[in-house]
Amino acid sequence: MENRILIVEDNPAIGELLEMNLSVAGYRTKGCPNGEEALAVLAEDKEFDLALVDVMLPGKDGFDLLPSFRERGIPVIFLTAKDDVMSKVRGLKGGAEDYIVKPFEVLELLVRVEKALERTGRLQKTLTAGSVEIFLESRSVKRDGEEIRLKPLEYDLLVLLARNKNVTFSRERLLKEVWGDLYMGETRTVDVHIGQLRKKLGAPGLIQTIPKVGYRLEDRG
Amino acid sequence: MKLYQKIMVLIFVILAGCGTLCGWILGENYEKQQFARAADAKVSGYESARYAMEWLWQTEPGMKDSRETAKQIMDRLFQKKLFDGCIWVEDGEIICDSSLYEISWDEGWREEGRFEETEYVLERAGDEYWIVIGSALPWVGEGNYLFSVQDLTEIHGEAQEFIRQFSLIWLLFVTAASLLGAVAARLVLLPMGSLARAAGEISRGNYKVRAEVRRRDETGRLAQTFNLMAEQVEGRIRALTLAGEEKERLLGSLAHEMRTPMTSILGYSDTLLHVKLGEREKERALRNIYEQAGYVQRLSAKLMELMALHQNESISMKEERIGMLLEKAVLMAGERRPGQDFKLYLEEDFSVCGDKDLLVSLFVNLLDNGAKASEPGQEIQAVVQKGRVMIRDFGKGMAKEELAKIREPFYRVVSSGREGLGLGLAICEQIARLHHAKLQFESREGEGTVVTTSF
Repeated sequence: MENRILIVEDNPAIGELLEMNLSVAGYRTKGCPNGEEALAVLAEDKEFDLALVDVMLPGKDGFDLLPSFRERGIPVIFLTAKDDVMSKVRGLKGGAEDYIVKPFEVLELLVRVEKALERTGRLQKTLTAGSVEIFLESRSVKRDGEEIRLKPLEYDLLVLLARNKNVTFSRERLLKEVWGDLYMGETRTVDVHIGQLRKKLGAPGLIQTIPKVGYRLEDRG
Repeated sequence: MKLYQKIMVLIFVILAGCGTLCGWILGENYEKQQFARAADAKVSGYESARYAMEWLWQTEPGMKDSRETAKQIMDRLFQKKLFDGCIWVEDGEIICDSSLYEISWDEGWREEGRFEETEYVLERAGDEYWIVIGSALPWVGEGNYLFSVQDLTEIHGEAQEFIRQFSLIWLLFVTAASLLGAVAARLVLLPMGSLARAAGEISRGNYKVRAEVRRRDETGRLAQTFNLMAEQVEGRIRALTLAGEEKERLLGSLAHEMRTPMTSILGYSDTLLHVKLGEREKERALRNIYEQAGYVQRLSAKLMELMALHQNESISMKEERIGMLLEKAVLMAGERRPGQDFKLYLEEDFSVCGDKDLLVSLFVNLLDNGAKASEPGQEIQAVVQKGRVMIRDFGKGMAKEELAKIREPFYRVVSSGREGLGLGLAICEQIARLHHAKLQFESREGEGTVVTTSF
């Protein structure tokens, strides 16, 4: 079961950008160009796990919409071109989950969305990547129903890549996300672990090397 | 030292100097005159005594024969007031003397031939002055002289007293004159203090202050000129501040306006670089980058236009017929939006001084705004009457709150779906400002909008 995200953004180009990235990363999305339409969508369909809401909307703005989302228990991440502290405070005080300032990096968007889902306990319990299934609660991995034993770092690496399907991570980024900020190792470490992971999974083409950039898990399912 | 104090000291020094010189010259002259007068009186007294002696010599028989007799007679005579201070000298020896002074006979006098006739000498020793009068006594014999020594110290004292009094009176006058001069200078210079205070305030940034001087003299004129200058400075500063604030607002809005397309461009290129996309999605991403970059480009072009208007260079002001300008504008607006019905109602024609292209662009902009608010096929009017140009549409109109914001750069009307760049009216406003024209907006929701341009 994939997480569903409601996107409320008046600028069509940015709306499409959000939808494109989130759906490629494995989320199901629904876009609305303004607050009125978002409320209409909510009236019919309450099954959203997260809402990405632009603060500056024509008519009802993001702050006006916040109570409606909270009523339905949907966490909200605000998106805005404003990076002034006051509107940030106002949004967070009003109960927003997080705040993303435009322009944003794709990876940052995905990580924040994921963290928000994780905090609110809405992250899906299983991840699938091709023929590989990951059970997050038991921290176990199966391929075609057959259990694969992974070391903790290999498992974390696989989860990160599987959660952000089709998104390329640089070796530095992987080091930072999996080994942590304080780890002073070399990027070769990442290559070694990726190699181990590939061997254990035995699914050719699942983890791709992107020359001069890094790695990504490809799954167009 | 303050100016009035300087003036006071100057007056004092000048007058005191003049007074001293005057007093000295006057005193000297007075003393000389008094001496001369006293000398005359003493000489005539001496002459009387000498005459009395001569007469006695001629008439008294014993005098000629015996020096002893003559001495006895003359000794008695010398006690009389007439012979007071007289000395009879024979060959350097004093025969009779009624004076308090000693005379030292100088043989040189006889050789020089002095005192042959009556003559006098003024003598001075320390603070004492006296006159020595003398002449030979030929009827007594060779070597006989009669001298008279008279005290003149009193006369010198009188002259000194005159100078002293004169100095005292003069000093009193000089002091009074200096004080009066200082007061007068103070009064004349009083407005300077007020001017200095005002100038100080202005230099501290309080441009509203004026010098309060109500006089018709030079200081009053100076204050007037100063106030005029202060007014100019205040005006300039206010204009500069306003222009600065306007620029700041424009820049702030620009940063905000740039962020939206930049977010798209950065986001899509980031996606293309790092995310595996399908062919269709790749194309969508590229198309969005292209469109948003185009938007940024249009934005910067319009902004350059606005900046050029701000600097108002290369504007050629010429007499133009308003009818001609509007005909052209209506034609151009029609070309831009073929679906709309633009009409020109020329009730009168007048000429304005301005740049043809800019004015046409102003009217095309206003007509286009009208068209944006109208339904397809609705009429948009350009009316010339009473020296004004009115662009009227019968479209959606605007609410009051919106009307207040439309002149701000980058503001877009909500009902228009916020299309366009939001710089149109800001440019119109600049064009109007350059032509010293005023734009007025009247609008009612659901009934339409009228924009009046009055030159």
